[in-house]
Amino acid sequence: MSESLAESQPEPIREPIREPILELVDVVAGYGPIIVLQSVSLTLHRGEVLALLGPNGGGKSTAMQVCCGLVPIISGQLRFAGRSITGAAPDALARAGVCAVPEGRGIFPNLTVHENLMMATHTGMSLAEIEHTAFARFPALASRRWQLAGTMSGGQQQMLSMSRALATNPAVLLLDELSMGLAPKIVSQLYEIVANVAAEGVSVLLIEQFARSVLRIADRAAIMLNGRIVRTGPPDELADELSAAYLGGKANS
Amino acid sequence: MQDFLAYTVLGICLGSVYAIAATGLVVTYSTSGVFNVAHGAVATISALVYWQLRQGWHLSTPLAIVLTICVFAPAVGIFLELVVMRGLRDTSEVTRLVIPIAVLLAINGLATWVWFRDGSRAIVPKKFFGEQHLQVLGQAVYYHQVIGVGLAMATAGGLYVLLYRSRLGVTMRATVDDRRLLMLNGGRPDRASLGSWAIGAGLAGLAGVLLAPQQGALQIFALTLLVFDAYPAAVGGRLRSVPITFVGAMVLGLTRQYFDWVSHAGQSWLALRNLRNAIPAILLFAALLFLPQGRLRGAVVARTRERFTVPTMKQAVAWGGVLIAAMAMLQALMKGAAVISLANGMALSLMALSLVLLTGYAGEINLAVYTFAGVALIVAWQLDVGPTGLATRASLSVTAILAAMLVCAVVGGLIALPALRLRGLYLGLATFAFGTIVYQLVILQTKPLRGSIFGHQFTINLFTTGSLTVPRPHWFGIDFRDQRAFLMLMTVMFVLIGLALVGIRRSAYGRMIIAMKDSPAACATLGLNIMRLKLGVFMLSSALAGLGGLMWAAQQRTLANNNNFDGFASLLLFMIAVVGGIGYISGALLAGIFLSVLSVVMPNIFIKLGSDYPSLHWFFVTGIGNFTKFVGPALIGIRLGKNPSGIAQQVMDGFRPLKRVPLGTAAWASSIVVLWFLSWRGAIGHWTFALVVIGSVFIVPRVLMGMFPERFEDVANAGQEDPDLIGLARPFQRHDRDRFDRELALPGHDRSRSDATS
Ligand SMILES: Nc1ncnc2c1ncn2[C@@H]1O[C@H](COP(=O)(O)OP(=O)(O)OP(=O)(O)O)[C@@H](O)[C@H]1O
Ligand SMILES: [Mg+2]
Repeated sequence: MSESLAESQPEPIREPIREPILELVDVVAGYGPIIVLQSVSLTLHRGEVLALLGPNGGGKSTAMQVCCGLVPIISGQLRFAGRSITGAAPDALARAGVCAVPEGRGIFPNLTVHENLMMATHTGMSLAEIEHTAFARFPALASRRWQLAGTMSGGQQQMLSMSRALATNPAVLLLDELSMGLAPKIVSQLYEIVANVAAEGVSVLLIEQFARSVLRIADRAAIMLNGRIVRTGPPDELADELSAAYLGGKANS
Repeated sequence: MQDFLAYTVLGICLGSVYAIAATGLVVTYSTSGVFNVAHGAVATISALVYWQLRQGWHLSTPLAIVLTICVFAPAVGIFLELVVMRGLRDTSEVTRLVIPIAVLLAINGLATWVWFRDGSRAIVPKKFFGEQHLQVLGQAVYYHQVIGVGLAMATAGGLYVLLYRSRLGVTMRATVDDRRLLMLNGGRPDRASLGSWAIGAGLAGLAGVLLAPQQGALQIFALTLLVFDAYPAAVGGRLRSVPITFVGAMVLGLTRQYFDWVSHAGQSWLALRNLRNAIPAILLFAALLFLPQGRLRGAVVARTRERFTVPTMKQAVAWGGVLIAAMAMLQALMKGAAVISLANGMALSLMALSLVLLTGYAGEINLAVYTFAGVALIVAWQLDVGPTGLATRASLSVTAILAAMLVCAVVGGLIALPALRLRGLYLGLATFAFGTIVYQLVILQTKPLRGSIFGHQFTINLFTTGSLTVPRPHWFGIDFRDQRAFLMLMTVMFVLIGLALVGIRRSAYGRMIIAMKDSPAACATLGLNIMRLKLGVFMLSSALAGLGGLMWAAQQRTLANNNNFDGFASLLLFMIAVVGGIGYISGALLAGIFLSVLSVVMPNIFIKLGSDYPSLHWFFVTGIGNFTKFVGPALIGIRLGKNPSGIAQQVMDGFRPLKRVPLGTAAWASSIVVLWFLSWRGAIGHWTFALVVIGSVFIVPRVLMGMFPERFEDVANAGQEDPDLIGLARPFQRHDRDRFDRELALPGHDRSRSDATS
């Protein structure tokens, strides 16, 4: 399965007419007996940055975990590049080009920076090459090559997990709360990188709390509330809706 | 000088075998997070399999080696990972220790059953190339040892490259850090764990085959202990570093050989003859001392609730009364032999009580309960019997008991002190090391300890004649040499200590202990002195272990030194206590009774069946009887150890509905009393009585629920109500909490992630 998926990896061109790359179709999912996502439909197009916003506990992280195969789907469909991948294992999805950086720091604390980057070599790119691009992007990492990743600062850890994610040359990048606990300067630096990779044709699903700053780089935004997508649209139109959602207003209807 | 070099060569040979064993342990730990106590057992059974293939069935050496080390041992590793260890993910530290202990006992039990079920038999493993050897500086170095050195080098080098240089090895290590993240990176954690268990078990097998000829005739538990000797090396490497582990193994091997050299193989100082065997344990202790302290981590929030409900004092008193009454009634019906095994069980329960406090409440681990029994016994013996060997008193004196408890508390404090800053597992290892040291240097000591303080001569007799005897108590005009009376005395003691523990648990001190177990980091920020708290609990629990041990010794009357104290009995007791329900007083009771019944009564039943039906003799006696005897407790441990709340909780839950039908319950209880009376007078048979009572335990709660459905409506309707209204429309109850836990997928029911101590 993973091989056939790998073949269909899209070439990095930003096309004017957007074709969907990752789709959730009426997905119902949750943890054991509790259902968190109640019929969620969401489409991520090739080369776009889609911001998924919403208050705490709305189900954003769950939606992301559904996309990368960690949370099983109860009913509905998950489609990647036009074919159904419902029920695929997380590692198969990762090898096919769906790359996720989960909430918290997506690093292995007891491995060195070097070894963390080694975990991205499954795509065939050589470790030296990966390190080269990563260190070029984040010079702070270069001097910490042999440091245990868990002993680095939060920002450095986030840089590491970003470089590892990008090194796999993904078709889809799922980023959960990239900015959590980071200084504004680092956040804007990371966002810039996100905008750049999107420009290179990678589709990005960005989950955030800081709505304002995300909306600047997003092409589209969706608001999730109580396990449902209540609104999708261009970022500027959503700004008002957003405050209603956060303040617990009418959006529930 | 020449001697020095020769012993260095021998030390390197020995160190090499340790290196193989210890690195195997490191592989499994650093790739699965499980400290595989069963490593030694895998080594032992592999050595037996090799013997069977090579010497039993006369296969060629290379074929036998390949079959053992590349096929059998890895298969065992893979089997363990698939069937047992995989389930240990995200469980508490205690569970992650208990299950491998159970596996250890199960494998050794299985090996006993296969190779030694008909008693002793000489299995003498041969060295590779037999007795062929080189002459190095006047010392014989066998080809076998040279091969060992070569293999150790190859193993260490190979593992280093694998774990730190290859993607597969890095994937294995990443598996422990974060499985889910690994999957998101396209890694395959399941395969990685299988690989690491296969490699770890293969190395265990290799170590076993290399070590076995050292022993002469192979003894299962002794060989397992030989592999344990390698553990300090792994601990020195913090269970992660292959190079340090390798160096540690060499240090270990050299220390032992140099000791042999200076002590002329132990002949120089007879009192220290056993020091040789204690060296690994001493080094383990030292390694633990110098181990850097793990950081307190507050971030790990355990998504669990370990629900050890604490009874109120009133309930506890009531249950204590019920226990005493039930025991009095029960023993009146039983025959002498049955009373003895019940009393043995009760004594074990008393010992297990110390673990309820230590492990159940405080989340710490003591793997040397029997050692405290030994220490208490020595102290009490000094006071009550005396160096002349003649009993100066006919009764175990209260002074002796108090002195024994005091000494145990001090000793417990002394071992815990250096290890206090360490996490549960390491503290457990420290106690195990301590147990081994005491066993080798004190309990196996045959020279009495003579000395003088301020001109006052004293002699402390250890197990000089190989065994020690303490008198049973003779208190309140009752001679407790009578087995029934002593059983009742122990029951009363159990109830009293149990009440005291419930009192402690309900006090402010008890709440501090629980808080410490739940989150040491949070406690530290609240200004609790964790060290002092831990030390106090450890000392108290050691004193209790000593008291229990003393009663156990008095129950046996005479204790031999070659039994019970070598560490395995303590492991078994710890395991069964967890299975019984480590957070409950009743769990300790069940554990003791269970251990005694399972190891004594069950095989007897099958032996009886075997002699009644001679044609099925093999099936009953060997197939079931011996099998339950050797493997049974361990299998139960594996099965039930995953349920952190233990059996006690399940039993209690069964009785819970009774509270709502007090009249019905009273009627049930009184009919049991009436039946007992009839049975006691011989009107109905004892077996009939037993069957009726056991049956009614299962049936009565259900019948009552069926008869009074209106009182159980809320239980029946649970799960259909609107959760928002619970607590408003009617009081919030236990089953509501269970339901919420279930729906929030909190794993409290069958699995626990209880320890935030890591
Ligand atoms: N492993 C789990 N088991 C049970 N319930 C869970 C689990 N993970 C999340 N939930 C529940 O699912 C719901 C949605 O959680 P989710 O993490 O998706 O929210 P979120 O939108 O990412 O919130 P936040 O913005 O705070 O990160 C919450 O009510 C949460 O309690
Ligand atoms: Mg989230």
